Amino acid sequence: MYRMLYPKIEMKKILIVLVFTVLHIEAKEVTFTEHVAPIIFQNCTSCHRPGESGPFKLMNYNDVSKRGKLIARVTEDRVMPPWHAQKGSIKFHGDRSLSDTQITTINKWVETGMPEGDPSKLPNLPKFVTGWQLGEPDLVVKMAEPFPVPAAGRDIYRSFVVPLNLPKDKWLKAIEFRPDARTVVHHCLFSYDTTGEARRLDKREKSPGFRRMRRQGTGIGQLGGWAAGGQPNKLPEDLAWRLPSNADLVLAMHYHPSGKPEKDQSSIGLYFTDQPPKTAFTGLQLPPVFGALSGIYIPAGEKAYTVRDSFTLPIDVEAFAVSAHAHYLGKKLSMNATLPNGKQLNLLNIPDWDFSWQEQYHFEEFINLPKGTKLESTVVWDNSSSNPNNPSVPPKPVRWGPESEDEMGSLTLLCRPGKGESFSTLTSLYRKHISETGVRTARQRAGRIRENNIDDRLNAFFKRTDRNGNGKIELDEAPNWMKASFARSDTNRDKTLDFGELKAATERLRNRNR
Amino acid sequence: MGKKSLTVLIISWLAAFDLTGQIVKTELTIKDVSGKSIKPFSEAKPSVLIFTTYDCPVANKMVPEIRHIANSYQGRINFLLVYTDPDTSQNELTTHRKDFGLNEITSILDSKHNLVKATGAEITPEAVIVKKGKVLYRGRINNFYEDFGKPRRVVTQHDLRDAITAVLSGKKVPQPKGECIGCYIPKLK
Ligand code: HEC
Repeated sequence: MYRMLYPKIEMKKILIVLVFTVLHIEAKEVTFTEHVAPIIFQNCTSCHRPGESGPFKLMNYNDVSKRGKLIARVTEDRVMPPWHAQKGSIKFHGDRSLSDTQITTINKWVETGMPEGDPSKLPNLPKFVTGWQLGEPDLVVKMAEPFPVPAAGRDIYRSFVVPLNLPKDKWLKAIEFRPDARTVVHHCLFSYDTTGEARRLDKREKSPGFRRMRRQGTGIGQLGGWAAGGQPNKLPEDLAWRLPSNADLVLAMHYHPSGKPEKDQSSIGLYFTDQPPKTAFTGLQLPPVFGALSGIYIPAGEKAYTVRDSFTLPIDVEAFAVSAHAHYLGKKLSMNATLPNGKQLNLLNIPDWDFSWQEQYHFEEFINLPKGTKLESTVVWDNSSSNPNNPSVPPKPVRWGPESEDEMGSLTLLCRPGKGESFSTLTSLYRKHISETGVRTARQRAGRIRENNIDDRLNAFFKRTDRNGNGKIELDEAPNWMKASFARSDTNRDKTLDFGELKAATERLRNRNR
Repeated sequence: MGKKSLTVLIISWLAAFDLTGQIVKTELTIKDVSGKSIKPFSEAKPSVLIFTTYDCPVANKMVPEIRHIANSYQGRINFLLVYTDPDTSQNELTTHRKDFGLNEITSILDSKHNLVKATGAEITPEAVIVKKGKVLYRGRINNFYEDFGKPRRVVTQHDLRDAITAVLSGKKVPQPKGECIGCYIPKLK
């Protein structure tokens, strides 16, 4: 008996020892210098160092360990680093998101008491470029005067005009934005204006800047944007924007009060090229015009109001970037491509839209989308009171509009025509798509108005006819032309017509006349 | 079990060991940032403490509301701002108080965590109300933050204002404790 038991106990002991060693190794494994510092230095320190947007520095053991628990929480919730595109098969340039393994490593380190580890294993801090990330710009301009941002209150949207005084038309490769009051500048959209509208609007208002550009179209063009923490990107290969010599730069800024009064006078660097591009590029926006033609009407309380749009490519294209736009109520934005061979590509998926971090997502490489590819975009808004971003408490019905409390929603794919393909085929068919979208919505709206009108007119008729006001039309109240079909319309046979019966009768009549 | 539900579990577990109702020593004496000796809990008036650090963005976004509360209940409460990061330099403290307009508010650098321990505070910006040596409220200032990175456009619950109003009128605090979103108070080394 004894002899049989003995080896068993031994086995158990060995097992226990084994398990403990494994745990011990695991616990001992995760240290700051060897495992955590590389993650932090590569993914966090670019913003979390003096002079950058992060609220504190994350540059050594003390900086990180004293905030360990918080760091574990915000990385696990994927609040930090800020990056809202979901990981998919397509790689984005400058993807900041952490991998699941990196998040687990940080968590494990925090759970096991945040050991510092062997100091000799500490990696060097990366060499951060100070100043302009894309190198010395060809032209640096600045907002004409500082704009005051108060300590508290709602977000501020303000546009500023910056004259460029170019000697001649230029090919623009990139715009780099240097925020001045970093804690309050959240994003900035660039456009150019040759119509003088921006200057006029600017003059009209006393305080620096103006509310926003009213006009779009000829003489005004979009030039991308910048969002807090975003990296500037040069347009790939030989692509460039044409910037007319008489263009003013227009900055549409979004400020977010930080708790402390600030003044902002941000700078902009422009990068030119002398080499004209071989092809033009364009943005395919779905739904077009930021959703203006899609009849957006989001009822109060609606949790998932959805607009979809699709466009089939008439030529081969090469896509290089995608961006999304919505206001506060935006919830999910995504764009998919179905290739002619049936293959699905998820071009962008933002499952939890955050208005504060608008960003253009550049693909690492051009993506070939052959002729016949169906692009589909989906925008979902949440106008319920459970959406913390809802600017209205209680929720109000919201329509399309340019103010931040109106809504917009669309995704834009930037692409150039494939080799030997015709750019004008693409743009003319896309323009056709725009007008078709408008016509479709107008038809639906007209239909709705017709419905509403009929109801209104019917109501008025009912009230007029129901002279004794008992909510029913008796036979003697009915006009002569109605008497003939009275019995047939009285479906519940109570010798009177209620509103429902009247409506059904009219509908029957309308259908017969169609 | 997901991490979220684990967090919820831990929070409810912590709630069982809750510190509201805890007794703090009324004779405790500390120095404020100007070097003056004060007894934070000795007065007959209720004390309202806000825990903060100079660099927690969540707490800093709450400064306008902190100032608003200090002003609107002036004279009726003993309002204290408690800096909790022992690494805070004199310069960081001075700059923060000046930039955020906090010079008028009695502030304490709690480098030994006397007040943190006395009240059980864990988060910045957590608020604590103490009256006659008893913790009557510990929790968030309002519901500005739904979660990390998710500020509300419109604040709909003013937990601290409601709690102060209740305490001042001798009523029971409707919600004496609640989860507070913010930065964790750094541990002492
Ligand atoms: C693109 C710039 C950027 C990067 C990269 C970045 N942060 Fe941040 N971080 C910020 C900004 C800006 C804030 C302040 C947010 C605010 O004011 O709401 C912040 C806030 C924080 C906070 C305070 C809590 C909060 O959410 O406000 C923590 C903790 C943090 N970051 C940790 C990290 C860690 C860890 C990483 C790397 C894994 C990282 N950050 C990467 C810009 C960045």
